[in-house]
Amino acid sequence: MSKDKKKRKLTPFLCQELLYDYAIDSLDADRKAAVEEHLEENADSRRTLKTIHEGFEYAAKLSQFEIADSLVGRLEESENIISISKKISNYNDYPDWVKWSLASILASLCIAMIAVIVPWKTLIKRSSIDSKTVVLAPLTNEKDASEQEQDEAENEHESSGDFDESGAPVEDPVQIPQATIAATKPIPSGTIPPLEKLPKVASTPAPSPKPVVVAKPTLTPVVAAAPVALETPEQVDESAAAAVDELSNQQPRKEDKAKGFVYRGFMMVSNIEDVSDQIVQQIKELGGAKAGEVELGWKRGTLRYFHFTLPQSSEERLLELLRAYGPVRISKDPHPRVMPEGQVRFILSIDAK
Amino acid sequence: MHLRRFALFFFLAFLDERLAAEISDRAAAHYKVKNNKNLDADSPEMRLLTIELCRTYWESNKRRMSRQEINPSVEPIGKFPSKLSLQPWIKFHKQTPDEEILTFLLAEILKFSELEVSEALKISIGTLRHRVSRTVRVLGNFALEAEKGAKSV
Repeated sequence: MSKDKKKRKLTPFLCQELLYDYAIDSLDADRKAAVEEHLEENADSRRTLKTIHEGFEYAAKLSQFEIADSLVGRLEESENIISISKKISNYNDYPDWVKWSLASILASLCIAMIAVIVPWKTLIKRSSIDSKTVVLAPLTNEKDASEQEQDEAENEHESSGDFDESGAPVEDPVQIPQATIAATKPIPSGTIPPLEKLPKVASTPAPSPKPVVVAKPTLTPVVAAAPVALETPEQVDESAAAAVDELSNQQPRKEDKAKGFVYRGFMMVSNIEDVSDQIVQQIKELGGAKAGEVELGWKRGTLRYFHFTLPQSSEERLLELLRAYGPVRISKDPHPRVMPEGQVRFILSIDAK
Repeated sequence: MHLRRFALFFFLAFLDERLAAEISDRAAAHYKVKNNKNLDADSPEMRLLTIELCRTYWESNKRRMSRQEINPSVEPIGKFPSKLSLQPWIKFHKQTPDEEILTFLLAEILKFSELEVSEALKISIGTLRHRVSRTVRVLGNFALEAEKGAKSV
């Protein structure tokens, strides 16, 4: 009785489902016996089992596939982008000279990239000028002033060589940065007079410079640490206010720049000493006169500097004489300062070959 | 060993000798990249990788195969035992879902174990057996038909 209870009686549907497991021999003994019993009674199940065996047999034949030798050779050599790049990127296998060459080229490229990409001019400007600092009056002591004048004379870029109505050279107007306000008085038409003309300030050194606050309606209030002692705070305020007003009413400088002009010339000669003396002599003979602070033919290393005025009638003659020494590069540059009628101004630089 | 597996799998999966050769080539190159330790093709890692590559390349390229005009030429790829007709397989391929073809190929043709296939395909062993059970019956039917046809001729 208990033996009958243990014996499982499977439905035909379940037997059909178990045929695959029976075929691969993964049934337990009881179920295997039950399926075999069912198979004896059911012809459809026997046919199904036969198809399963046939399927396995066919699959086994497919598995006996033999790959063509030509395809094996091709597949063994097969490469893709990754495998090729892996081969190339195997840096350790490179010879030493290739490694070092690649490293040096890479380093050079990096340096060149940094040099090209980094905005050096902007960085230098930013580091040199603090946008929140305003220079009220860049006063220096007498020694510094004379050195500054000397530098201006030495380098034509530092001296515009402007002239007054009589044709005499005058000092350049001080270039006032946008955020710079002059605190001295008087300031004629947006310029600051030369240092020697500035009102004397107390030369006694102030123990600690007192910051001066300048109130400008159109600008944000700025604070400057003035390195000099001013007479009284009231005077400073008035001067600063006057300077601010002058600057506010100032016309754009671009309008002035287009009025006059200056000839800038450059040439290179082999015998600089002799040629320089001869050119000085010829300028004087043509009625020329020095226009800057330094004498004609002023020396700076191998460079000779000629800043002079000349009657316009002698202009062509001078160029002819200069061309006799070698090729001359002449440019006519616009300049805010207008020369008197019949006068032209030259800035000539001659360097040794 | 893995090259034979790729060639057989992709030929029976795509039933197109050109496509099979091309995809086998790509799979073999991929296999080479992955097998940087030069492991044996029958090592567990490489067997799993082979299954994974078969599945991946089959999934990504099965749209390229023509399911209407199937007339493969086995010679460029290799050869099957003599007297074996591919017609039962072609008929079976036409009416069997892709996941069942994939499972059957891996488990019954390439002879990977149930555990390996179920792990690689992320299916249970029960699901795997169910799929193989269905496919082997269908394929067996077509094989029997082809056998009867051959006897009658």
